[in-house]
Amino acid sequence: MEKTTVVVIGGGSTGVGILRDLAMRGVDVLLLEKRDMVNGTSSRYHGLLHSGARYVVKDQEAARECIEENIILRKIGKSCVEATEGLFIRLPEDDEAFEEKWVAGCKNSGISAIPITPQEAWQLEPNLSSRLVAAYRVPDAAIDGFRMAWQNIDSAKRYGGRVKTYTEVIRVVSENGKVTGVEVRKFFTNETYFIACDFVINAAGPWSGQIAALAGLEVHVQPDKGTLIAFNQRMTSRIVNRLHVPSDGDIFVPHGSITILGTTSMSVKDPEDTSSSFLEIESLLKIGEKTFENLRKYRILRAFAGSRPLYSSSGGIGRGASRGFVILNHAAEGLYGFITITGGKFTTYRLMAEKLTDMVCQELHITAPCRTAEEPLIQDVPENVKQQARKYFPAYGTVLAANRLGGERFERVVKRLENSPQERQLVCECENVTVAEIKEVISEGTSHTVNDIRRKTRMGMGTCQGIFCSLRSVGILSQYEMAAEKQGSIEQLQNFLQSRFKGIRPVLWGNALREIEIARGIYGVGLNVNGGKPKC
Amino acid sequence: MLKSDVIVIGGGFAGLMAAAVSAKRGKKVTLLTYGSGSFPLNSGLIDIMAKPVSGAIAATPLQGISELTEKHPYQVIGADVLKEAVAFFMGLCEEENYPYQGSLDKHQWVVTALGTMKPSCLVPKTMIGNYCFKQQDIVLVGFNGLKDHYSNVMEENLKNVLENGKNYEQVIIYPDIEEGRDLTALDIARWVSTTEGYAACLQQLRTVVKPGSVVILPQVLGVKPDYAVWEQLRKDLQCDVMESTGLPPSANGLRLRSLLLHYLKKHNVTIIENCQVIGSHIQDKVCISVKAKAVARERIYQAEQFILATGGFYGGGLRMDHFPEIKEPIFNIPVHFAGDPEDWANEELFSQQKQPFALVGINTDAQMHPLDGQGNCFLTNVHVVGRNLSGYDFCFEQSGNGVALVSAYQAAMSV
Ligand SMILES: Cc1cc2nc3c(=O)[nH]c(=O)nc-3n(C[C@H](O)[C@H](O)[C@H](O)COP(=O)(O)OP(=O)(O)OC[C@H]3O[C@@H](n4cnc5c(N)ncnc54)[C@H](O)[C@@H]3O)c2cc1C
Ligand SMILES: Cc1cc2nc3c(=O)[nH]c(=O)nc-3n(C[C@H](O)[C@H](O)[C@H](O)COP(=O)(O)OP(=O)(O)OC[C@H]3O[C@@H](n4cnc5c(N)ncnc54)[C@H](O)[C@@H]3O)c2cc1C
Repeated sequence: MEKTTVVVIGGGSTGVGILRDLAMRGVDVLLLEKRDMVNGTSSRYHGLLHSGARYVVKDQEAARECIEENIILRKIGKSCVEATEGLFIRLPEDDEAFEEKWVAGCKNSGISAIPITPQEAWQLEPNLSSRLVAAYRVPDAAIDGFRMAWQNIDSAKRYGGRVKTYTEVIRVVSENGKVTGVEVRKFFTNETYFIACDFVINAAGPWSGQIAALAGLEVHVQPDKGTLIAFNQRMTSRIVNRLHVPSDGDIFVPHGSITILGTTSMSVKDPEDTSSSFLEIESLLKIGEKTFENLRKYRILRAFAGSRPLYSSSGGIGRGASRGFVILNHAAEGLYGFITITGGKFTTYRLMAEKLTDMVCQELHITAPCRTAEEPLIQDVPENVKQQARKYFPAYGTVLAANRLGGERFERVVKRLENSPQERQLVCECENVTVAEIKEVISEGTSHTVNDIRRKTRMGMGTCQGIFCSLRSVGILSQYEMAAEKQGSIEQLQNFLQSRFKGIRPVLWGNALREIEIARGIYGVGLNVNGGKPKC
Repeated sequence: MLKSDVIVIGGGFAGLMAAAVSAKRGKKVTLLTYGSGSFPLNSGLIDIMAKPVSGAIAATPLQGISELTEKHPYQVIGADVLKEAVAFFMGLCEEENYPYQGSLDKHQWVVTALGTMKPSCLVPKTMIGNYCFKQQDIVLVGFNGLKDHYSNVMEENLKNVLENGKNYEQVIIYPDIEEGRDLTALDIARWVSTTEGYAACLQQLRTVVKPGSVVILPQVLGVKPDYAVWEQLRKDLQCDVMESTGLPPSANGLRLRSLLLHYLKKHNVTIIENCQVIGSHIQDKVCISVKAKAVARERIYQAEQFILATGGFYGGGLRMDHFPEIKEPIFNIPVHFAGDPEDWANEELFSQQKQPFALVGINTDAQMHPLDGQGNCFLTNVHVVGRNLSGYDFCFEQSGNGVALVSAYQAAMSV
């Protein structure tokens, strides 16, 4: 029988943070994720490493947590953070009294907010609204959620932490008021089995209410869906926030060559609901074009949505409910060994993990201190490896690839490129992803679908949204027995194309419409992906 | 200024066919176009109708057409014209020594790069896949360095499509082309067209391929519209040889394009390339002239009749910069989507329903004159063809080049 001391449920930022912290303190820990890592909110989010400035008026404590963690994550996760800085801008229609409270709040929370003139703001960001009346610089940054989670796992693995993906917890098992393990189901085979453990950590984000229910407990977590729009340009090199009471559609975050606008806020029944509608997009554009007047001229790549895990002990909903996090030790309710951690933000994931791990370690009588704030997630890529890599990557591609792969994996990829010229071919031309990188990721054994590969390599995330690289990646993935056993190539291709279409459907005009015509032509007509037996 | 009888705008399949039929009827034709349309994407297969209404494949292409609603271009134009158009196209290819195979009475099956079989109607001989049903030994040929061709995927899926018990073999040919470079099927087709390339290819195939097999390759059997390489390889290997569909660029799409351009030149069509039409001069529902931009200068072109073959949302004939405003940029022909925004697209990319956005386009009468919102003729000497038309979903139905062919024929017969 499989055994571990602690089972962590959920492969989002909260879960991986806990996995790393427990492993670093020497605890035997296994993380279970029902799909691929970062399947939930931690990739369906805005990617803003908050300075805390957004919260200073309403919640000073949250603001302070943000700025502290902001500084820590820049240090331990260098290659995940793009230190863009942020602007808060006030438009004539935004309440002037709020600005005063906000300035005072920043001061109280220790967040630097440097006032600049509108002229200076336009100089920094020429596309900003010509109507802005006040502007401040704050230490916001952009953070890559996929990468951050990956690096946490890589780090945890070095300390013996383990991960099982495509493994869904379907039952929490207890005896005499004490957790004894979990029953899980494997996604591709539906096989179920039991894993024994002493502690179960419910870190399932917006699903954490559902997980608590598996243990017969009630935790009020209201999934609150937010839709975001990704534009294919960097219309701003800084994060831009509206200086008013936090509201829908008022933040722009640049990431690499794209910009993300968000978000809406809407209570949903089920966190699996990640659909976005035309209406939501239209309302975001309407608000967004106040900040960037020429917003509609920019090309939209896709829309996506995720659910915030909003915790309420009293049942408040929407943006008003608390964004601070809670840790609920259910021993108090008669189930020893079951702990829920929910709410919070991506920005504070490490702090959340630290507090939770402190609690578990206390139960286990472990005194090792938390070191997650000091030790970098991954080693830097050595200069000589980068030098070697320059032979195979286009100039700008070397740094990008080194950042996304991290030291060890990058070295292995470079070795592949060196040894086999065939693997130098680009699979994804938009994001410069080579055969070598894809093969390396597949060979790690945790990628079973094209979407899994996409998340790890960025393949299919660029301008063409997978239209030209889908067949290639399915072709390569199918060469591996392990993957081919799980899903046929047609199913892989259909699922991948559908997942890309889902994000394009609510923004289906302009270039997107033209590209969907091509995608339907290539895969629907030319490749007859719907298949079927010929009648003759 | 010289005035043409007919100006055709757009050089995709619909535009070239419209020019061909008009010229054959003795008209003085000018073709204004830029780019090569969807030829490099579409394998040069003339699909006519596989799935008229539901996901089920019709008994024959002709049978499928009879099941369509009256708004569909085939119904607007009529089955008799369809038969004439097919006959015209088959005759043209015959005349150009690249005869196509197929008829309205039977689907032709083509092997795809995914290893599925795709129903089509008029098919170049190199792509007829029906032999797969008969023969026992199937050889899948790939080329070292060729992206976008995965014999392993083809084998996996062909096994599900074809009868059990066939033997499959995958062969990789090493083309003598610079190492490490990304190759397309077109690069390899050029290599196979050379004497040395062909010899090297044949030699490598001979060591593995048994006579009597079916040999499936990507579209690499030459770049020109002739069957020389294909015939030679069939003879040399004593096998049935066929090309599969693939990702762009498609050699056979480009073969069909060269064939048609050759035919147009033979019939004295004036072809102006790199020429973007940007506006028109209209008086009382009659188009007097169009304005076009070539490199730096603008020019006015006059004609009695105009055929608009600008290729819908892909070709640039229709544009939607913002939902739901659709624009036809040359003549300002009205196009509308009347539904709710949430009904613009089905939730699934591929499903058992036609895509609403794909059905949107220009409505016409039986002579392909564009209609306004009230159903009245909008311009009396303009005809609309191909992907610009409303009422059909080329992907769901598998009818793209078929609608292009028939509408082009009908427009050219009406000018
Ligand atoms: C639109 C939007 C924008 C946001 N923007 C920001 C931002 O800019 N900055 C910021 O700091 N925060 C932001 N947030 C908040 C932040 O994204 C979340 O608070 C955080 O990602 C939550 O992480 P998590 O690990 O708790 O949950 P998740 O990432 O959702 O992880 C939970 C995981 O549990 C798994 N799971 C569920 N059920 C089971 C089961 N039965 N068995 C096994 N696994 C299971 C799920 O598959 C999922 O992967 C945003 C949130 C939203 C919705
Ligand atoms: C990827 C793909 C695969 C396909 N596969 C098949 C298949 O296997 N079988 C099949 O039957 N059908 C297939 N189709 C559908 C088929 O290709 C099209 O429906 C059909 O060829 C449309 O022809 P068209 O001439 O109307 O448009 P297009 O081929 O798009 O040609 C339009 C031309 O007009 C030009 N143009 C546009 N605006 C102007 C202007 N203002 N001035 C001058 N020129 C202009 C464009 O540049 C272009 O060259 C496929 C389509 C795609 C996209």
